Amino acid sequence: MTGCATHVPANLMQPAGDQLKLREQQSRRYETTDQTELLSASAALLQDMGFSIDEINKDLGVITASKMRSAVNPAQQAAAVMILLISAAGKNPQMMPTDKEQQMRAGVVVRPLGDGKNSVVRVTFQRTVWNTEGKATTQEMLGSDEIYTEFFDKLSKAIFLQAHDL
Amino acid sequence: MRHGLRILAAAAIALSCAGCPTTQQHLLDSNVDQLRIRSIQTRVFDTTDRKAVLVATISTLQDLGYVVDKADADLGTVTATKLSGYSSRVTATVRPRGEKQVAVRASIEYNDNTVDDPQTYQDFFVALGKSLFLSAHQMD
Repeated sequence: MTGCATHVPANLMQPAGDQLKLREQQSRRYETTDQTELLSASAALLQDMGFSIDEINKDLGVITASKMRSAVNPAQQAAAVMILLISAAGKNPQMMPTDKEQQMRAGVVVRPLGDGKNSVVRVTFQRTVWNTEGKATTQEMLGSDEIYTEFFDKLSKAIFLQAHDL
Repeated sequence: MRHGLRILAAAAIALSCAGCPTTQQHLLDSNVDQLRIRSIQTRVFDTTDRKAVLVATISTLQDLGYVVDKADADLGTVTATKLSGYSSRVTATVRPRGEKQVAVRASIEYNDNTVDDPQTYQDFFVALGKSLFLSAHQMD
Protein backbone atom coordinates (compact mmCIF):
# COMPACT_ATOMS: atom_id res chain seq x y z
CA MET A 1 0.00 0.00 0.00
CA THR A 2 1.28 3.44 -0.80
CA GLY A 3 -1.04 4.96 1.81
CA CYS A 4 -0.11 8.09 3.70
CA ALA A 5 2.42 6.82 6.21
CA THR A 6 5.78 8.59 6.37
CA HIS A 7 8.96 6.67 6.85
CA VAL A 8 11.45 8.87 8.58
CA PRO A 9 15.06 7.70 8.38
CA ALA A 10 16.12 6.47 11.82
CA ASN A 11 19.20 8.70 11.76
CA LEU A 12 17.41 11.94 10.79
CA MET A 13 18.34 13.63 14.08
CA GLN A 14 21.42 11.58 14.89
CA PRO A 15 24.89 13.02 14.45
CA ALA A 16 26.59 11.60 11.36
CA GLY A 17 29.88 9.74 11.73
CA ASP A 18 31.75 12.57 10.02
CA GLN A 19 30.05 15.28 12.09
CA LEU A 20 33.26 16.46 13.77
CA LYS A 21 35.20 16.51 10.51
CA LEU A 22 32.42 18.50 8.83
CA ARG A 23 32.31 20.98 11.69
CA GLU A 24 36.08 21.51 11.37
CA GLN A 25 35.91 21.89 7.59
CA GLN A 26 33.04 24.36 7.76
CA SER A 27 34.32 26.49 10.67
CA ARG A 28 37.21 28.86 11.35
CA ARG A 29 38.20 30.77 14.46
CA TYR A 30 39.05 34.45 14.33
CA GLU A 31 40.76 36.40 17.07
CA THR A 32 38.11 39.07 17.41
CA THR A 33 34.95 39.66 19.41
CA ASP A 34 33.55 41.98 16.74
CA GLN A 35 30.76 39.77 15.42
CA THR A 36 29.15 42.60 13.50
CA GLU A 37 32.35 43.02 11.47
CA LEU A 38 32.46 39.26 10.76
CA LEU A 39 28.80 39.28 9.76
CA SER A 40 29.02 42.24 7.41
CA ALA A 41 32.23 40.92 5.80
CA SER A 42 30.50 37.53 5.30
CA ALA A 43 27.46 39.24 3.77
CA ALA A 44 29.71 41.19 1.37
CA LEU A 45 31.57 38.00 0.45
CA LEU A 46 28.32 36.15 -0.28
CA GLN A 47 27.33 39.07 -2.52
CA ASP A 48 30.68 38.73 -4.33
CA MET A 49 29.77 35.08 -4.89
CA GLY A 50 26.50 36.12 -6.55
CA PHE A 51 24.21 35.29 -3.65
CA SER A 52 21.30 37.46 -2.55
CA ILE A 53 20.81 37.83 1.17
CA ASP A 54 17.49 36.34 2.28
CA GLU A 55 17.78 36.88 6.03
CA ILE A 56 20.17 38.42 8.50
CA ASN A 57 19.84 38.29 12.26
CA LYS A 58 22.53 40.32 13.96
CA ASP A 59 21.76 39.17 17.52
CA LEU A 60 22.16 35.52 16.66
CA GLY A 61 24.79 36.06 13.98
CA VAL A 62 22.85 34.30 11.24
CA ILE A 63 22.91 35.02 7.48
CA THR A 64 20.94 33.08 4.88
CA ALA A 65 21.55 33.69 1.18
CA SER A 66 20.54 32.05 -2.07
CA LYS A 67 20.91 32.20 -5.84
CA MET A 68 19.31 30.52 -8.83
CA ARG A 69 21.56 29.02 -11.49
CA SER A 70 21.14 26.87 -14.58
CA ALA A 71 21.45 23.13 -13.98
CA VAL A 72 21.56 22.15 -17.65
CA ASN A 73 24.03 19.32 -18.09
CA PRO A 74 25.29 18.68 -21.67
CA ALA A 75 25.88 14.96 -21.10
CA GLN A 76 22.38 14.50 -19.73
CA GLN A 77 20.91 16.51 -22.63
CA ALA A 78 22.80 14.32 -25.12
CA ALA A 79 21.52 11.16 -23.44
CA ALA A 80 17.93 12.48 -23.57
CA VAL A 81 18.26 13.24 -27.30
CA MET A 82 19.70 9.76 -27.96
CA ILE A 83 16.77 8.15 -26.17
CA LEU A 84 14.37 10.39 -28.10
CA LEU A 85 15.95 9.30 -31.40
CA ILE A 86 15.83 5.63 -30.48
CA SER A 87 12.22 5.85 -29.27
CA ALA A 88 11.27 7.81 -32.42
CA ALA A 89 11.07 4.44 -34.15
CA GLY A 90 8.24 3.49 -31.81
CA LYS A 91 4.72 4.90 -31.60
CA ASN A 92 5.05 7.74 -29.12
CA PRO A 93 8.54 9.20 -28.89
CA GLN A 94 9.11 11.15 -25.69
CA MET A 95 11.76 13.57 -24.53
CA MET A 96 13.03 12.47 -21.14
CA PRO A 97 12.92 15.24 -18.50
CA THR A 98 16.37 16.73 -17.85
CA ASP A 99 17.79 18.97 -15.14
CA LYS A 100 16.94 22.60 -15.74
CA GLU A 101 17.66 24.94 -12.85
CA GLN A 102 18.96 24.90 -9.32
CA GLN A 103 18.71 26.96 -6.19
CA MET A 104 21.97 27.20 -4.23
CA ARG A 105 21.78 28.29 -0.61
CA ALA A 106 24.41 29.44 1.82
CA GLY A 107 24.12 29.77 5.57
CA VAL A 108 26.64 31.59 7.76
CA VAL A 109 26.57 31.53 11.55
CA VAL A 110 28.91 33.72 13.62
CA ARG A 111 29.12 33.10 17.35
CA PRO A 112 31.44 33.98 20.22
CA LEU A 113 33.71 31.09 21.18
CA GLY A 114 32.97 31.75 24.83
CA ASP A 115 36.50 32.67 25.93
CA GLY A 116 35.95 36.41 25.53
CA LYS A 117 38.61 36.65 22.77
CA ASN A 118 37.60 34.58 19.77
CA SER A 119 34.68 34.17 17.41
CA VAL A 120 33.75 31.21 15.24
CA VAL A 121 32.35 31.47 11.71
CA ARG A 122 30.65 28.43 10.20
CA VAL A 123 29.42 28.25 6.61
CA THR A 124 27.25 25.63 4.92
CA PHE A 125 26.03 25.25 1.35
CA GLN A 126 23.19 23.22 -0.12
CA ARG A 127 21.25 23.01 -3.37
CA THR A 128 18.03 21.79 -4.94
CA VAL A 129 17.91 20.90 -8.63
CA TRP A 130 14.64 20.93 -10.60
CA ASN A 131 14.10 19.25 -13.97
CA THR A 132 12.13 20.37 -17.01
CA GLU A 133 8.97 18.96 -15.39
CA GLY A 134 9.46 21.10 -12.27
CA LYS A 135 10.30 18.07 -10.12
CA ALA A 136 13.13 18.27 -7.58
CA THR A 137 15.73 15.74 -8.75
CA THR A 138 18.61 16.50 -6.38
CA GLN A 139 18.56 17.82 -2.81
CA GLU A 140 21.97 17.82 -1.23
CA MET A 141 24.57 19.53 0.86
CA LEU A 142 27.50 20.96 -1.11
CA GLY A 143 31.01 21.45 0.08
CA SER A 144 34.60 20.33 -0.22
CA ASP A 145 37.89 21.30 1.39
CA GLU A 146 38.62 23.62 -1.56
CA ILE A 147 35.27 25.41 -1.32
CA TYR A 148 35.57 26.07 2.42
CA THR A 149 39.25 27.05 2.20
CA GLU A 150 38.57 29.53 -0.58
CA PHE A 151 35.62 31.00 1.31
CA PHE A 152 37.62 31.54 4.50
CA ASP A 153 40.70 32.83 2.63
CA LYS A 154 38.54 35.54 1.09
CA LEU A 155 36.88 36.32 4.42
CA SER A 156 40.28 36.64 6.11
CA LYS A 157 41.45 39.08 3.44
CA ALA A 158 38.31 41.19 3.86
CA ILE A 159 38.73 41.57 7.62
CA PHE A 160 42.56 41.59 7.76
CA LEU A 161 42.56 38.70 10.21
CA GLN A 162 44.02 35.25 9.93
CA ALA A 163 41.68 32.26 10.03
CA HIS A 164 42.58 29.53 12.50
CA ASP A 165 41.36 25.97 12.67
CA LEU A 166 38.94 25.36 15.52
CA MET B 1 -10.73 -5.94 -21.29
CA ARG B 2 -8.38 -2.95 -21.35
CA HIS B 3 -11.21 -0.74 -20.15
CA GLY B 4 -11.86 -3.08 -17.24
CA LEU B 5 -8.20 -2.91 -16.23
CA ARG B 6 -8.33 0.88 -16.17
CA ILE B 7 -11.37 0.89 -13.88
CA LEU B 8 -9.62 -1.61 -11.64
CA ALA B 9 -6.50 0.58 -11.48
CA ALA B 10 -8.59 3.67 -10.67
CA ALA B 11 -10.39 1.80 -7.91
CA ALA B 12 -7.06 0.64 -6.47
CA ILE B 13 -5.75 4.22 -6.40
CA ALA B 14 -8.96 5.46 -4.77
CA LEU B 15 -8.73 2.69 -2.15
CA SER B 16 -5.07 3.36 -1.33
CA CYS B 17 -6.02 6.97 -0.56
CA ALA B 18 -9.04 6.14 1.58
CA GLY B 19 -7.15 6.92 4.78
CA CYS B 20 -5.59 10.12 3.47
CA PRO B 21 -6.37 13.46 5.13
CA THR B 22 -8.58 16.02 3.42
CA THR B 23 -7.35 19.56 2.70
CA GLN B 24 -9.02 20.80 5.88
CA GLN B 25 -7.33 18.08 7.92
CA HIS B 26 -4.01 18.93 6.26
CA LEU B 27 -4.50 22.61 7.15
CA LEU B 28 -5.51 22.13 10.76
CA ASP B 29 -3.74 18.81 11.38
CA SER B 30 -6.99 17.94 13.13
CA ASN B 31 -6.49 14.24 12.48
CA VAL B 32 -3.43 14.07 14.75
CA ASP B 33 -3.35 13.93 18.53
CA GLN B 34 -2.06 17.46 19.15
CA LEU B 35 -1.47 17.00 22.88
CA ARG B 36 0.65 13.94 22.24
CA ILE B 37 2.61 15.75 19.52
CA ARG B 38 3.20 18.74 21.79
CA SER B 39 4.53 16.53 24.51
CA ILE B 40 6.97 14.62 22.28
CA GLN B 41 8.11 17.90 20.69
CA THR B 42 8.86 19.72 23.96
CA ARG B 43 11.63 19.46 26.55
CA VAL B 44 12.59 21.63 29.49
CA PHE B 45 16.12 22.64 30.50
CA ASP B 46 17.16 23.92 33.93
CA THR B 47 18.67 27.23 32.89
CA THR B 48 17.54 30.84 32.67
CA ASP B 49 19.83 31.69 29.75
CA ARG B 50 17.37 31.61 26.89
CA LYS B 51 19.84 33.06 24.41
CA ALA B 52 22.42 30.37 25.18
CA VAL B 53 19.78 27.71 24.51
CA LEU B 54 18.90 29.41 21.22
CA VAL B 55 22.55 29.60 20.14
CA ALA B 56 23.05 25.94 21.09
CA THR B 57 19.93 25.02 19.10
CA ILE B 58 21.44 26.68 16.03
CA SER B 59 24.80 24.90 16.40
CA THR B 60 23.09 21.57 17.05
CA LEU B 61 21.00 21.93 13.90
CA GLN B 62 24.17 22.81 11.96
CA ASP B 63 25.88 19.72 13.32
CA LEU B 64 22.91 17.64 12.16
CA GLY B 65 23.30 19.00 8.61
CA TYR B 66 20.64 21.71 8.69
CA VAL B 67 21.13 25.18 7.21
CA VAL B 68 19.42 27.95 9.17
CA ASP B 69 16.68 29.74 7.18
CA LYS B 70 15.53 32.26 9.79
CA ALA B 71 16.23 33.08 13.39
CA ASP B 72 14.78 35.67 15.73
CA ALA B 73 16.43 36.32 19.06
CA ASP B 74 13.52 38.33 20.53
CA LEU B 75 10.94 35.69 19.80
CA GLY B 76 13.33 32.79 20.30
CA THR B 77 12.57 31.01 17.03
CA VAL B 78 14.82 29.20 14.57
CA THR B 79 13.87 27.54 11.29
CA ALA B 80 16.33 25.36 9.40
CA THR B 81 16.34 23.07 6.35
CA LYS B 82 18.28 19.91 5.58
CA LEU B 83 18.64 18.57 2.04
CA SER B 84 20.10 15.10 1.79
CA GLY B 85 18.25 13.20 -0.90
CA TYR B 86 15.16 14.30 1.02
CA SER B 87 14.11 17.58 2.52
CA SER B 88 13.54 18.12 6.20
CA ARG B 89 12.59 21.30 8.00
CA VAL B 90 12.74 22.12 11.69
CA THR B 91 11.21 25.01 13.59
CA ALA B 92 12.34 25.39 17.18
CA THR B 93 10.95 27.86 19.69
CA VAL B 94 12.78 28.62 22.90
CA ARG B 95 10.82 30.36 25.63
CA PRO B 96 11.17 30.88 29.36
CA ARG B 97 9.17 28.55 31.57
CA GLY B 98 8.64 29.92 35.03
CA GLU B 99 11.60 31.55 36.77
CA LYS B 100 14.21 28.84 36.48
CA GLN B 101 13.64 26.94 33.25
CA VAL B 102 13.61 27.25 29.50
CA ALA B 103 11.28 25.19 27.32
CA VAL B 104 12.27 24.16 23.79
CA ARG B 105 9.70 22.97 21.31
CA ALA B 106 10.90 21.55 18.01
CA SER B 107 8.64 20.55 15.16
CA ILE B 108 10.26 18.43 12.50
CA GLU B 109 8.95 18.02 8.96
CA TYR B 110 10.17 15.29 6.65
CA ASN B 111 9.22 15.46 2.95
CA ASP B 112 6.03 17.47 3.60
CA ASN B 113 4.88 15.51 6.62
CA THR B 114 5.05 16.24 10.34
CA VAL B 115 7.34 13.74 12.02
CA ASP B 116 5.48 12.08 14.90
CA ASP B 117 8.10 9.49 15.82
CA PRO B 118 9.13 10.21 19.45
CA GLN B 119 12.63 8.74 18.97
CA THR B 120 13.51 11.31 16.28
CA TYR B 121 12.69 14.12 18.74
CA GLN B 122 14.50 12.34 21.55
CA ASP B 123 17.64 12.15 19.36
CA PHE B 124 17.43 15.88 18.70
CA PHE B 125 17.02 16.79 22.38
CA VAL B 126 19.87 14.49 23.40
CA ALA B 127 22.14 16.27 20.89
CA LEU B 128 20.93 19.67 22.12
CA GLY B 129 21.46 18.68 25.76
CA LYS B 130 25.02 17.59 24.97
CA SER B 131 25.90 20.94 23.45
CA LEU B 132 24.36 22.73 26.48
CA PHE B 133 25.90 20.36 29.04
CA LEU B 134 22.38 20.02 30.46
CA SER B 135 19.88 17.24 30.39
CA ALA B 136 16.48 17.61 28.82
CA HIS B 137 13.40 16.95 30.94
CA GLN B 138 9.95 15.96 29.79
CA MET B 139 7.29 18.55 30.53
CA ASP B 140 5.08 17.54 33.45
